[in-house]
Amino acid sequence: MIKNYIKIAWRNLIKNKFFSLINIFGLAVGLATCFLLMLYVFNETSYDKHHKDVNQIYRVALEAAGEKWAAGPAPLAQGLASDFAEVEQVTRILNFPTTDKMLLKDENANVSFYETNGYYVDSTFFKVFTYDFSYGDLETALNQPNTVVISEAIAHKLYGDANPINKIINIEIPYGKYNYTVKGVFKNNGDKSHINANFFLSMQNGDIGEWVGQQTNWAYNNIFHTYIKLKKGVNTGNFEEKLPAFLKRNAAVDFKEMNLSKQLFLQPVKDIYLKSDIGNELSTNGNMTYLYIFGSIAAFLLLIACINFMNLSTARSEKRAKEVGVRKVMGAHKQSLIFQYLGESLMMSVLALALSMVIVVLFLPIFNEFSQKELMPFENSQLMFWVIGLTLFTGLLSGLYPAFYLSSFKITTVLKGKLANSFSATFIRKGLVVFQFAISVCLILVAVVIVKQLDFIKNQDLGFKKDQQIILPLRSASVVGNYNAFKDEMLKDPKVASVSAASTYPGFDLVQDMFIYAEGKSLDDKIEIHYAQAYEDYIKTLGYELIRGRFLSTNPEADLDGVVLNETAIKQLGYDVDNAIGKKVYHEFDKQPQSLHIVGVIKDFHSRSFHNSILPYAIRKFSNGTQPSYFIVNIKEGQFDNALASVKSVWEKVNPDTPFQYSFLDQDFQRNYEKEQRMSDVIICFTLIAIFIACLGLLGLASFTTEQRKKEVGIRRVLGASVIGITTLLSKDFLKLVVAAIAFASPISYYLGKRWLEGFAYHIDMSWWLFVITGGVALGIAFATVSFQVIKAAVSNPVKSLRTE
Amino acid sequence: MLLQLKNISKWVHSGGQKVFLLKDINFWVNEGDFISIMGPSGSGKSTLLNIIGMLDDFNEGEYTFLEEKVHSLKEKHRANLYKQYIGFVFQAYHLIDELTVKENLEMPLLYKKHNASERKSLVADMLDRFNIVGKKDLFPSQLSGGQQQLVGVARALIASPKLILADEPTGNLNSKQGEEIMEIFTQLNKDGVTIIQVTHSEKNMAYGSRVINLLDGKIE
Repeated sequence: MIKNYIKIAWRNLIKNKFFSLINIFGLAVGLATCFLLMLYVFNETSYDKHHKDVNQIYRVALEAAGEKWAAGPAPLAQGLASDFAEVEQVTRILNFPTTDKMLLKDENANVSFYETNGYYVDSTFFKVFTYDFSYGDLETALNQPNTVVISEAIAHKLYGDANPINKIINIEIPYGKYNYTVKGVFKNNGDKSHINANFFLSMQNGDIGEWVGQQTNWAYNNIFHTYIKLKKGVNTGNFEEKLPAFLKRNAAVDFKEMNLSKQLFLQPVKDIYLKSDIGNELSTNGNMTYLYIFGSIAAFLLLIACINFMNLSTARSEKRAKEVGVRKVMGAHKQSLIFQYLGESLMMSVLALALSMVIVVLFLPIFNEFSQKELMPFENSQLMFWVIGLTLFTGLLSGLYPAFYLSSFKITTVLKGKLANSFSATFIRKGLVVFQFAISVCLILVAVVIVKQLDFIKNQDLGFKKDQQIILPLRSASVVGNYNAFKDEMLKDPKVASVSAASTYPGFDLVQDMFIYAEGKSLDDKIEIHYAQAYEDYIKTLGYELIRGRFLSTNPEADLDGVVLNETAIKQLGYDVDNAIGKKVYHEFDKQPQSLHIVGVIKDFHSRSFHNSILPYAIRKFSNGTQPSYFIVNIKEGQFDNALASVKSVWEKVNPDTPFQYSFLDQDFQRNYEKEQRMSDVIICFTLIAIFIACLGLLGLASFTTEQRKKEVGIRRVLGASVIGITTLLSKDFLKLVVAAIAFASPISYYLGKRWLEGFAYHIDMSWWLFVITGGVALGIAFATVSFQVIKAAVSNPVKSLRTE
Repeated sequence: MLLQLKNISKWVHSGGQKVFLLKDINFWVNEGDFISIMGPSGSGKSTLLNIIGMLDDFNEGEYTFLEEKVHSLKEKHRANLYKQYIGFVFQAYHLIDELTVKENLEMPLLYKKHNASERKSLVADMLDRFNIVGKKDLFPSQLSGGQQQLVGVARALIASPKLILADEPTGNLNSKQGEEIMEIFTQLNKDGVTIIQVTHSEKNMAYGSRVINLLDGKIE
């Protein structure tokens, strides 16, 4: 019986090559997209699943005034450990500001390179988190001061294949050079974690160790990522309820001084990567919402392909109707017919599966590139299970309706050949086409909105010059000391417009902030202000617009208490831009009010991405031995070509011992929109696929209908209808459906676009013509698709089509 | 008695009025009968045949087939009944285009759940009996009309039915092919198979033992 079914299915498939091709190809593209996305989803959901007892591990994060912050104060970990019997282990990670890149050298300084993501951790780190060591002892790795655990990749770079244990690495940070002893090497084995470390330094050490030891205040320096492992069986909810009292017990005094109130909350470590997007994350996390979005788009794509199958099967049912009748007369039950037709769609989907595997293998490299992953097609056995499941599901989904539709034919009508496409079947078919195109149009519209917004972001005036800026990170004290030599040498170059140095430059979440208040007010009226510390020419180099007053003096002794504020800061302080110069602002340090005076006001600018609105901002001088972290070199307009080479040669002349590193400010700034850029790429890609599959279906339907109406066309032609008249007549039916789809899709995509744009503090408006143009494009694509078939029918010789009757 | 129809009526509603396709039909068929149903177009011949074959419903009356009351049977039960006892032959042959001769013959056996070896021997018997062994791997489109109808008859016979229902079996054939088919029916009838045929042709009628004349849904 099965053999009989397969035979008939196969012969039908071969006989109707065109329809089979549309079906299989459409399904294959849909399945391939789903599989690629599944690979991505499996990868994204595999973070931090490998830790032993991961369900007992939590990060303790802070919440203050509605803002959530991933790190806590230094004494938090010890406090939790000593106050709670429920806590089995605590550990901290310190991602020390300005040490985002460290210069690593082996003992003899033969090899030296910058390495990112080096974190200071407590000795208990490997008792909480599971790492697979290829060298060294997990238990004791960081027990000694000045020890380091490195990744296999780093070990290989430094020592080749030699055992690195007890070797010395010289690590240079802006505060000096320090020797660390290698006590462990962990494998780069594909275990993924939100802690994206390349190496771990012991928190007890000769560089920042002393500073860490001094941190006993609960109110500031919230830069210690604090993790706890609860004992087995501890109820997390109950434990979390005890945290407010704990914080009050320990931190009330410190908070009161700063006039603060904060809460603690727990984040399960296994959820951090996908679900946490709060201040000061260790790295850019994934995003559950995007997974849902991508997942639903993939599902829709597959659905579009399934609809093609349903529509083409039912449209062509006339051809199968006789078979249904004969089989019923021969004694076939309805079920056995349903099984037969389901079997056919399953076969179709299995063939599509084979083709989709080829597509996956071909397109994986491209997909990896824009998803920035290293996905392998068959690494996950679970995936194969899903792949097979999805294929079967697809086969059933697309086969179910045709199977029931076909098997329900009445013998007496089909054998008389009286079967006309019933009203309900036609209606359903039209409805499905509208649905397909509504999805496609929706995707197009959303993609257009995203592209326009990203374009807006790129071209909007930020209030400073983001182009032509070369940023040189400073990772050692000696380089900072050479600033004047570097600057003098650099300015000799005619291509260079200006040079400065600062603690930061626009484009980042700022870490440096303080609370200030205006004259005649108190700490109760404080505003939070972020600030940069800068050398002279900072404003000129970055192109800020000074609207009142002047910039900080070049005299190293002058203006130590001077400050330049942006307009927003002036407004929030309650001053007026016109009379702010010379006014004082206060901040408190060790309970003593200290005054700063306003020497200049700059126009508001976007120091952060367009997701955020403009906040109060200040520029100050360096003080108390603080040092700049970046040189900024502004190149003159139109002279960018060889500029980088000359900056490099100057750097190498002035700092022969330190490797040259650079970035471009515009690219750094753009990095803020990486997620959006990636999303836009993915959606554009999906949109194209969706349109493609939907058009395949339309093409199939068009060829079917024109075939069916061949006689009508012939008669009309004989009676004098023009080619254009017939083309219009035949296309109209399809285009009506597309217009209906546009009508459905527009409000939905308007809503989706609006929701997405709400994530930006500054965004475009969605104007009506956007929808009109997009609708027009969709209509054009649909017309192009059907016109081929339709025109072919319209120009064909009517004598031929009439003769066949 | 093989089957009996008592006061069978079938109607449709058209423009608010009952239009009778069949009205008050009474007749019976004994095993071994060869009956011809005759009448002009639209007199209800095919409808009557479909009702006898249980492919179509009726609105009123009683139909007994081998002591079973067809009018009160469930759809599935009814299907089992005709599957077991009735073979159909159509004017347009109704072979499945995508299956070869051999596979077309095999199909009814598949639905009756015969095992592979049984199917093989039954199909081989049939091919032999109708002299179409050489055509077994051809598709219907590669056969002449007469050959297709031969396959159609063979398919109707393969499950050894008690009753063959033939709806204008020679309607699409030339006279020589038609005669061949009628000869086969005569032979089958001699072997004990009951046959009911719908026909327009007096010549074909002559092969039968009894004639039922229909006019406007009624037996004359």
